[in-house]
Amino acid sequence: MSRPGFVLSVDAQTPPLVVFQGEKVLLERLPIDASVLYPPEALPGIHSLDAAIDDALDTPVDSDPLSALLKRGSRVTIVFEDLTQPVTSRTAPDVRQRVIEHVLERAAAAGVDDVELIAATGLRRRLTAQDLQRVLGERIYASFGPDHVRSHDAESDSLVTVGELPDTTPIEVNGRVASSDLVISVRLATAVGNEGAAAVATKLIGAKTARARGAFANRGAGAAADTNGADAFDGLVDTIGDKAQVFTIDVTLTPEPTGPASAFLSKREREWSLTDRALSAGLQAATRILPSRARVGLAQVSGVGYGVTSVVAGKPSSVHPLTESFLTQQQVGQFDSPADVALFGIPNPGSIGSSLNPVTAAALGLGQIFNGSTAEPVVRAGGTAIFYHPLTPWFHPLHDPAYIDFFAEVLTKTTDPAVISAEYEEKFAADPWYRHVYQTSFANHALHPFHAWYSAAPAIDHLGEVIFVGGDHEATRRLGFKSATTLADALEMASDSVGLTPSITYVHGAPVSVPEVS
Amino acid sequence: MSRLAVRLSVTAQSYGLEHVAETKGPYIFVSNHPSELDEALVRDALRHLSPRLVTVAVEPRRGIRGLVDQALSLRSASRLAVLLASGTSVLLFAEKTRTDDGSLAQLDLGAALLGIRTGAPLVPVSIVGSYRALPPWRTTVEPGRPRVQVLFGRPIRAGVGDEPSAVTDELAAAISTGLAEESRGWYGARRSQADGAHAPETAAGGEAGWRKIWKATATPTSPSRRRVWQ
Repeated sequence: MSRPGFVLSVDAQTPPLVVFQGEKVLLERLPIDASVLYPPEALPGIHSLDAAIDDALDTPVDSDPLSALLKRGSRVTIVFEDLTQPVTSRTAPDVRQRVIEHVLERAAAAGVDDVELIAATGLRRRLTAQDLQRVLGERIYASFGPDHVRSHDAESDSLVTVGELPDTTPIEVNGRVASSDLVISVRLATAVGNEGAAAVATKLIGAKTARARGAFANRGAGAAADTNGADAFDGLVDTIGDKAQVFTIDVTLTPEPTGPASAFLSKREREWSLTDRALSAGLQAATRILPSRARVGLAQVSGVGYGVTSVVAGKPSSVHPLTESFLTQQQVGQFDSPADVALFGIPNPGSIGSSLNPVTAAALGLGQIFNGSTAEPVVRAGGTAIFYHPLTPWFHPLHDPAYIDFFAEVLTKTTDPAVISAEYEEKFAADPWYRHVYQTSFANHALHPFHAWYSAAPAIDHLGEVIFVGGDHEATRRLGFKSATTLADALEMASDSVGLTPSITYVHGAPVSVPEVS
Repeated sequence: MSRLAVRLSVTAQSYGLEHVAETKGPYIFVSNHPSELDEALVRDALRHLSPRLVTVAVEPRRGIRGLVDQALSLRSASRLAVLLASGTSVLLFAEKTRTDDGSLAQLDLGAALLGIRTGAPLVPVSIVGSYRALPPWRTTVEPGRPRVQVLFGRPIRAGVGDEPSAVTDELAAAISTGLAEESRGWYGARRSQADGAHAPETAAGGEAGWRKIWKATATPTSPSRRRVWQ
């Protein structure tokens, strides 16, 4: 049992608190009487991962052991998480590699020859050969690459129809997965809801299905998950199509990377030792001196790796609730009542290795309102959310071509998701250039920025004002938000809607959930 | 050969250390021994994990090193058991004889007996490519920093009641699988082991000696250079 979370009321003795702002880490002094919501401390990682994986595979939940499911001559597909989940260590093998090695050893012993590995990318970009080697390790990549290790292609001609959405759109999934005898899904989660829907098929669907499933009209107000789509996929949790049986291996990770250099960031500031204070001062000095590109690198090296807190394998419909309840117990913070103003820091995820573009950063921040570290929104309806992020209008030239046009052409005209959905989505979805760069280069799908923006819509509706501290003025205005230089300015700006003495809640730590953008 | 010299002369890669790190030491590393680089290669790979390490080969070493081994009684099982009890790991080159063609010879039962006696985890180690880098007829390492791999297998626990020959077979199978990775790949090596096919690298008889040497010193065909366009 980890140390539970708690709510700290800021008083004159409270030291400045850690706030993430993109690649920077700030120390902010909050107004007196503000509440600070600390999440429960993470459980210590499992020491012997090999033994935990062996145990999970040999005694799965509601399923025969994996060795019994693998048969000579059968067609096996291993589906693994892409880079939406962090690369778990800079120096040691990734957790996905560790799990897949155990699976493949059993497959080899059973005499399975037809094995293929597919990254469950949904509408996200393909993984490069280098990404695949980082995630799977050189030896697995050399054994199966490049032909038998690949990323899911939502625009492929070989998609297979396995069902129907409520609006009669066919559910098309990856052809290889649907034609397999056994689909082994390796899933990682750092936070509640982080591993996505129970059905792994939601990450292996075609673009048309994804478009219908993620359409703005299908998203209920105040709920990020589209219930219609979830119902349609209920039948694809344990089997996909006629014969593909799914065996899942769920691994939960500590919410943040743990390493000697950055451990102090997840500690409570009152408990900082002298070493922690010295490290913090060093980090402050480094962020002041270093140029922004170097700061991105600094964020990457400061964490050593993610610990594994549990490994559970078996039938997906039985394993998924177990994983969710384990994460809920570990991570959800408790608070009394929603505040007028909520503060959030948004760091750049280390695994991406580059700055977040403003649209993704806004979607990530606003996703915290409904899918964050607490079950209920920490801010009342009509309240103000203050985020810390620079919102630098920088887009990855290779990964984000659709984002560049979405930001330049769509958001300059309107920020209303209903109008965007009606007027622009079809144009982007049908554009052959986006499809070309998605299939042959390493670009996110054209629908990706749309779904990111739709995922932020419930939070924007819920909130009265959204203010970004340190946000680029023009980019913030274009997204329909306000920018402030300091927290005091932001509170001054918010006073119009929440009064001069609002109740303030600061959600401490990094965001725990990247919103599920197909 | 010193660790620094080895680092400068070959491109060494080690895999599987995560399995060792998760098991409590000290360990008994059991390795094949195709060249004179092997001890330094393993020591270099284990410099953080197991800095205290003594090396013993089944075939006695010659010269001053042989005399030192004799003086320290390193060839006695009781002495090695005492060292293991004090936290020092042991690297055993456990082949009964040194082959001159880089293949794996039959393993001595001593490693398994030591593991059973002390309860220390036995770690199979396969050294791949060192024969090509420094074959017995060369005095210096092949130029061009040839690629050498040190592959650590999953530790094997042996205890009282285990049959030494069975443990030795398990060690030999793990080392052979590692050696087969070079020609068949990681999955192919495990797949062929499941079919009971002997990896050609480890077959004791059959092929003529010159063919084994020819194979063991052939330039690897897989592209090692990074392609710009992919």
